[in-house]
Amino acid sequence: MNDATVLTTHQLSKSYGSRPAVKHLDLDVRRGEIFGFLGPNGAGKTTTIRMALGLIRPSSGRVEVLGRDIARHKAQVLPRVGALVESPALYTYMSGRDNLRAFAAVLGGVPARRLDEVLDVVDLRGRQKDRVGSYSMGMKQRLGLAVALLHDPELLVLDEPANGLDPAGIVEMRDLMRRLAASGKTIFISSHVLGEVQQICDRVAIINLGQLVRVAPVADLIGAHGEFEVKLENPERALQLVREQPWGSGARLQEGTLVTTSPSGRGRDLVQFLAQAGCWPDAVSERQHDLEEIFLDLTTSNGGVN
Amino acid sequence: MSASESVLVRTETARLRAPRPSFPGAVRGELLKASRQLTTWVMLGVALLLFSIFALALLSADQVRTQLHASPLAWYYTVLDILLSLFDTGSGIFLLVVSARLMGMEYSSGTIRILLARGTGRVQLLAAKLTALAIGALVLLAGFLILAGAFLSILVSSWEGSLHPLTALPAEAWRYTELQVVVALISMGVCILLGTTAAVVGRSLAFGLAASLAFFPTDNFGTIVLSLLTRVTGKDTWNQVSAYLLGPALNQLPVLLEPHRQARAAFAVPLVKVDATHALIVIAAYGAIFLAASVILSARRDVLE
Repeated sequence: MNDATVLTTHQLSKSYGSRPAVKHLDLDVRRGEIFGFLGPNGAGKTTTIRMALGLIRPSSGRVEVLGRDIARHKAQVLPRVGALVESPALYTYMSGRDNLRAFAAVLGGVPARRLDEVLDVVDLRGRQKDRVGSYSMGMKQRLGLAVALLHDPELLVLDEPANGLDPAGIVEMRDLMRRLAASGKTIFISSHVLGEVQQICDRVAIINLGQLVRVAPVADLIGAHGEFEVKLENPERALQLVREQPWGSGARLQEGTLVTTSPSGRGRDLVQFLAQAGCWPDAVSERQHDLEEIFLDLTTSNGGVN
Repeated sequence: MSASESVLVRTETARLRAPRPSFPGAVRGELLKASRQLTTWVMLGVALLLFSIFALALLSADQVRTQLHASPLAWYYTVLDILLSLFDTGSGIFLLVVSARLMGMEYSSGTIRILLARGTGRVQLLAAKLTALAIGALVLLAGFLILAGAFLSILVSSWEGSLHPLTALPAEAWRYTELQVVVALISMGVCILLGTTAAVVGRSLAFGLAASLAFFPTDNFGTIVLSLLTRVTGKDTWNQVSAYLLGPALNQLPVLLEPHRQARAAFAVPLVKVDATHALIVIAAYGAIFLAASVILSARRDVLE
């Protein structure tokens, strides 16, 4: 681990009885990035997050947060981490402001003006005196985020932060994540809203059945498959031609569009090949997978384990 | 979320002081949580109402007035025994509920994971809760003593025209009062540990409340069961067991500490003769078991809430 890494897991494993929840997980989260942590329900995301926050003990392996082993340095490290784990956990019989006061008292070193600041950040200043029990799910989620931000943490660990938010709230949350990252904070975000993850994350890790399936920059995941979409007059004939080539065995038609790789990986060589065969393309574009497609592909086939 | 950049991007000079979980801060936080619970104030309100009813009943009791005139010391013992019995029972229920709530709500609402994920030590959190509850118990006892003292002063001065019957009480009356206050402190301490432990063991508010409130009725009732078993089996072993029950030991303690007073315990007592040392050891053992269970379970278990 170096200065550029704020969260690292080393061969992290957790079993409940004979059932493994996380298996030999190796992750590195770099300073200042927004890191997405994806996986289907039961994949081991929350278990991993809980181990990273010292809430549960690993069966084997270890977690380093901000350069220190979490098992031995919780009291030094965790005050520099803000977390929102699963649904927001709050004292529903107290007001929003009293919730912040209660958490701030435990943390220590949080001045009263900071409560106003974080209430402004999550736009709850107007409802700060109302009982949290009367809040909507989205408001509770925002208050949970305010609790996480109370002490100006270096690392934010957010488990499903978009839960309960309406579309406008999701957009606002996304903007907030970006601004937090721009301010130098590292954000580790677990989410099912893959569209959101695709838009805000720099890198993602995908886990399935407790195992790491893939870690990559989002741009690489959605654009690095080397496939092209070709629109032409006679796609069936073009498909037949391409499939006869050693590089074209994976070619297929999707809604009348030829989807194929290129002889060299470059689009112009594919255009040249088709043109020489008399199948002039009307349009050629590099195929962009969306994260959802990749996610489903990786988690249903469990292929491509790094 | 209309955040301003200045809030999010803090300069080094404006950066918050490096946070570090503090024990006094944790205690303050626990006191805040307890003070914001409606049930806390409802129970105190009900207790005040019951005290007022008791005071009115006492004011209108001619027999008590006659006793004050005839023997101020006997009158004082009688009134003090009644008041402290009521306080022990009422404060016990109050502290069991507040303790179980204060601990159990962290598990039931999941806030325990937020607190611990901030670096608050597990044992530190437990200690902060116990300290806050101990402070609350001391305030409760102080409030009761002030209220009871004021009530007795008003009662005596209105019946006798002065406070002389009280001020002229012998030193043994005040020593007895001190002993009863110590017993009340022991009782409150055990109730705090029991309520907290029940919530920690069950990791839930509902379990904590149910288990802690059922404990004393169960072991008081247990003496009846043990008595029946002794009769049925003809073996005295069952009676001996009753000497190791917490409730009967606590009930008997005030009498054991002042053996020359012929007072009777309000609830079940051990079925065999025990002395004050034995009762204190039994109570201390239960307290130690409750505390050890809370500490070990808090420190060692994974937080899955």
